[in-house]
Amino acid sequence: MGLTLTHVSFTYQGTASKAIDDVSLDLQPGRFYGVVGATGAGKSTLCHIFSGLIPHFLKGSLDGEVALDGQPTSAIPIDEIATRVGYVFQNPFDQLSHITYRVDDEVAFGLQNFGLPRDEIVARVTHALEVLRLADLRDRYPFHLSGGQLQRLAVASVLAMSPDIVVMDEPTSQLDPQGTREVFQAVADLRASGVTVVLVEHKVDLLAAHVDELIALGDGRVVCQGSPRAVFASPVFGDLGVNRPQMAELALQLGFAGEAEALPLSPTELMKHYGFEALHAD
Amino acid sequence: MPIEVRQVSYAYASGVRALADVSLRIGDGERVAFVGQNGSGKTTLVKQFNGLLRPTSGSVWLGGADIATQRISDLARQVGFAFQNPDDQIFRNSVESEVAFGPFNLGLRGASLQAAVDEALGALELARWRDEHPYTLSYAARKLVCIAGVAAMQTPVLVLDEPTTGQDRLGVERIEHLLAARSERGTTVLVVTHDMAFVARNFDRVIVMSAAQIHADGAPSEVFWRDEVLSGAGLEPPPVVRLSQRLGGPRFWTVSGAASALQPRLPDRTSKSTLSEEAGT
Repeated sequence: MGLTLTHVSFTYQGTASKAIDDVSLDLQPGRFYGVVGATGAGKSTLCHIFSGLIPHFLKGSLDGEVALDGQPTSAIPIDEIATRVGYVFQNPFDQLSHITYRVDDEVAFGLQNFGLPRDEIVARVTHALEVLRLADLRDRYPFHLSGGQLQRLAVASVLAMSPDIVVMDEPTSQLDPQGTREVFQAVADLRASGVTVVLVEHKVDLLAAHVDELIALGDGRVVCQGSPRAVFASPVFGDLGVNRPQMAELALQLGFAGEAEALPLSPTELMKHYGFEALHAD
Repeated sequence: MPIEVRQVSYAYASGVRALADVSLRIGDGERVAFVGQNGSGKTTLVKQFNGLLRPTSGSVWLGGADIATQRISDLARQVGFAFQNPDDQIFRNSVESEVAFGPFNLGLRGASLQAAVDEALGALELARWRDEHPYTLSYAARKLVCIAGVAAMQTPVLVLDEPTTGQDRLGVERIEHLLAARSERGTTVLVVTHDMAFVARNFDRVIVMSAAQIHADGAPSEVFWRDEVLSGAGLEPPPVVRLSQRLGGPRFWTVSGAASALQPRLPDRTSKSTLSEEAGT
């Protein structure tokens, strides 16, 4: 299953400027895509287009073609798109149903709406709780969880739906480093199982370490796209108002002028590139 | 305004013990970052400073007075608090009236109210959105609106809970400028954050919380090198600190610090280019 955008533009109802401006993308099955860009660059709008919320729910004018497995998303009912494209909202409060009293019921909520058999629901909920390390909290009231636990719950409830594509809008924004690593690990597991992942994230050091491809947005357009090294080394990246990973930034401040694919992204790579000797092994 | 925490313990109604016998002194005008895992007690601790939470045992002293004897409304004049989730805070229907709410309640009126609002909107570059409904803005912008609303109260102590989440580089820079400007005026600036690079660039003192207690308290140049404390608290220092540790020699904890320290060690200094100016921070 692939998702393709061909010359897509979108303007929200009641606004004058295009939130997304002539974007063409071809998301290949099973790849992990990172999306970066400044506030207002169009990251969330792009996620809404991927997930079918545009044009089915959010109003505005959509030009160009968005196709899910060759079929225009405008012609697929939103409830069917939802079975194929999972969407993790930026704020878990927007994601959760607000009508369940237990963590496991919350994860089951979407599945019940699809009318799946009970055994299937139980199996999927158990698996999702395990992957997101929520099994011990399964009987807790969702809104008594910490911010980080809530974000993991939001990811679990999408994972349980077994979508082919998962779109995540800053799912780790309120997580501590350990919680963030857990979500990235869960995302890596998803991707290893063949799921296509699109992740909007400001934590560029983690993106650099995990994604296959980065899509950098500026003013609603794709400004550069490619391997993390190619994108971070791109001269146009500096104007986007987005951080580079610290080691890439440091290399550029030290006058890095090599091929993009040699741009250091870790301390080890930086030391090797400049021939710095370690005092002791890491 | 100095803050003193004397043997404070705090337990939530659920029975969860969030602070266990914590003592701490923060001097007038200090800049302090509280770091630690979700659930380590950071937010619970800073909520003691303005009476949002009252200690189960122990006491909190603000400017030499025990806050147990003070009303929330008096504490609000002294300690401004921006919540982690902007949607817990925002309730007005325009950015300007949201930002004006705090200072209005402190008694500001007319030109002085307008001046406080304009200054806060200006500092965070929100002036062009003053008439917008906050919920038409992005999460990151709503978060800046919240910070502006608290900054406009011009309290001697400013507390920000996770200010940089969801911010792009420019958003973080605006927050950094605000904190620097307030610091210069003598404001005590406290943040709770997971963003270690932000801590490294802006704070002289880092307090590491873990399991309801303080496990380290010192300068970044000291705390970031205490591996056992950081890993015990589930934290990682910024990558540039890892580099510094592996290289030995003078310590650096920011990218600009690293660049200055490493520039003389470059094997071929003729390879320097103008990219370094462009790259910023």
